Amino acid sequence: MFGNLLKSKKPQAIETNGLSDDDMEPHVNGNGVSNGLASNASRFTMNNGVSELIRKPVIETKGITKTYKMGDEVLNALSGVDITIYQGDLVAIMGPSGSGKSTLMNIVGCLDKPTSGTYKLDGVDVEKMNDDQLAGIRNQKIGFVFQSFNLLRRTPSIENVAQPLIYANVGGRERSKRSREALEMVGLGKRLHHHANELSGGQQQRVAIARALVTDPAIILADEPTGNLDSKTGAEIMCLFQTLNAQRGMTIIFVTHDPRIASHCKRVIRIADGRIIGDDVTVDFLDACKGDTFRE
Amino acid sequence: MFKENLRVALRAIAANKLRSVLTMLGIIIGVSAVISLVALGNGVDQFINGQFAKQGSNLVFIIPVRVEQGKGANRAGFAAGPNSRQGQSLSLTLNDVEALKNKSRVPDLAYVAPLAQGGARAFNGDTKYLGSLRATSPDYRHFNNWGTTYGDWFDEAAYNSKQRVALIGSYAYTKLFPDGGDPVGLEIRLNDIAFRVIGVLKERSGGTQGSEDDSIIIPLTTFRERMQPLKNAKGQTVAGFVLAQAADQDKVDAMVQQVTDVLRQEHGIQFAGEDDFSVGSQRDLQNTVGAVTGALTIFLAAIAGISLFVGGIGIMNIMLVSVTERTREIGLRKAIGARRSIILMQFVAESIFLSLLGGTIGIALGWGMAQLVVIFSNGSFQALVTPGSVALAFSFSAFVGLVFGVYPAWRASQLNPIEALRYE
Ligand SMILES: Nc1ncnc2c1ncn2[C@@H]1O[C@H](COP(=O)(O)OP(=O)(O)OP(=O)(O)O)[C@@H](O)[C@H]1O
Ligand SMILES: [Mg+2]
Repeated sequence: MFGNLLKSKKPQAIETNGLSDDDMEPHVNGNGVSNGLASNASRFTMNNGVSELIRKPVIETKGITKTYKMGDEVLNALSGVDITIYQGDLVAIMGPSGSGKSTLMNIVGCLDKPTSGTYKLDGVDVEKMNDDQLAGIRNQKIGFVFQSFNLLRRTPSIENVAQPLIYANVGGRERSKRSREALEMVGLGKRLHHHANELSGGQQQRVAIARALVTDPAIILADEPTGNLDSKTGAEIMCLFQTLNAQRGMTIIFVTHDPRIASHCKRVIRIADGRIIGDDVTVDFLDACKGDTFRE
Repeated sequence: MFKENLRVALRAIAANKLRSVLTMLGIIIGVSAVISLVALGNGVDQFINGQFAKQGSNLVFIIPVRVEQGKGANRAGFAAGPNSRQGQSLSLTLNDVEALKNKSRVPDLAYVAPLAQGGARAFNGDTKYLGSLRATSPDYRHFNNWGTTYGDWFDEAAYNSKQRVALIGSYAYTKLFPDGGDPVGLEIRLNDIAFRVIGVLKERSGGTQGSEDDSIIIPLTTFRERMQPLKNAKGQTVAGFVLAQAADQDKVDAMVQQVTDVLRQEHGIQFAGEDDFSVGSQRDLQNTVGAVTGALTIFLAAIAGISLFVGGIGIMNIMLVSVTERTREIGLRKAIGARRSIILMQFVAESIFLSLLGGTIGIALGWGMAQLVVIFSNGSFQALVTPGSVALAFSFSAFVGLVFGVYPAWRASQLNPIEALRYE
């Protein structure tokens, strides 16, 4: 089903199946939960034991807060979040409903600005950017999979997937080629011309995933990406994400309630009441491409 | 990007067909009204100019004018006799016509003829015909180069001896002599007086009622002797009004001056006195008609402007609704990287497209209405849908779409993506 993906060789593809010991260390976080051993300098990926590569942080937030004023009441959706996410991370953000997961994702995805705190994406201060620059960042660097898909109804799936490429000024022929490839990746090669409202919930979700992948972004942000999928399709989608992560070094962040998704991630960040309450590395995360790992 | 905008616009319009049509209605009505009325106006313009051209543009009308007593000089023009109608100016006489014929006094004049008009109640036996009566001199034939199909014009001798002879216009001929044939020499009765037919005139202006072809022409001398005897205070026969033709287009102004001088002398008007006649050239008349049609055009343009404005408000209204309805779509587009200018352009394109579509439908509809009028008028005049008016209507509706689309599109472009995505 995802054979197409294996054909595409990208220069930045890196072998991550054999994890180095460093990856077992917990990531730095700023609310005192870290076990004290963590430091940026200690993060290496060993390659044949010869070269060592400092892993590059792609997302760095410091003291991010988000406050909503509702009349007299002030609601702190996020109250001081420090996270650093590195290139090639595969992270699950978990937490109860209303804990601020989506709010955090929106800030990380440059859709929203924090009330206070700093956010560096790829080393660039996002607060200093204007609306159009942020639009460019969202277009080039980030692929969103929204909690509620947000497809254009009455529009063929291939055109839905092609939208981000239009805004990236990719030419028509190249656009449809890449859109078709993306849809084939998510197993919808036979649904190119179905309108979004003619697809099942799971298929719509996969179109949304294809749209996030089509620009080949550095970061994928997915809010409940397997929520509407049965266990078999869920495993296939998870396998796709894992392969993209392993072969292209794509940084992938899931927001989920589903422990099955968390068990497939290298790292799990827990959030409650707008604060990080846990940040753990999973050494023995499951490989969705091997066997029936999605059964409950 | 343009193609994409067009595709999105088409999809949005197709998704709400009825609403789109209702939105475009204002533009459709405005544009079709302008196109059809301008076409008909052009047709009328052309028709009138055609009439002028037929008569020759070096024609000059001399009309008697009433001047109040005591003002100016010798008011010989006002008759006090029993035949004078109250208030009618009798200032132009056959003596004036003779004076104008004098080449040394009016060198630039080619032809001059008196003309009086009235109604004709004509009988050929029991066949009745109601038309117009024109009383003039033999020189009248030169003005229009008005030939005959049967017989000939009356000559100077017949004119001077006040013979009861009549020329029949082509339309009058078909009514008076429905069986056809050469009527020359036959007797008809005009307003209860027996006349001998001496000729039938060629068709001149469409051969319909109300045109010159419905008239019957008799010598003015006979008319003033038997039908409408009018003399001024000096006992001179009144002409009615006088037609003069300049020898050349360029000589019209010179001739007008000469005619004015001669008539003032003839009427004994002092240096400071007011003219008791008015000399109007064809050009003046054309200018007057032009001014009237110009005013009409401005009036039309005002109506068009108002209806297009109303149409534009309709478009703005619907675009605002559309932006609200598609808030989530806009949020999504921004989330996946659409810059403000792109959202702005998308909605402006949609609005322009909507009003251009309305404009195009309006142009087609207006053209159709103009053609209908032409068909119902039996082709007696043309409707001219000029490329200019089409281009104007087209660009005006695009302009309306642009102006009234900008604000809704600007609102769309300013939406915050997160809030837009949350919008229910
Ligand atoms: N635009 C807003 N205005 C007011 N309050 C908001 C707004 N957006 C989010 N909130 C509040 O912020 C808190 C966090 O919301 P958020 O959507 O981030 O939760 P979540 O963790 O994604 O929940 P779920 O798992 O149900 O999606 C909630 O209490 C929510 O009511
Ligand atoms: Mg959420």
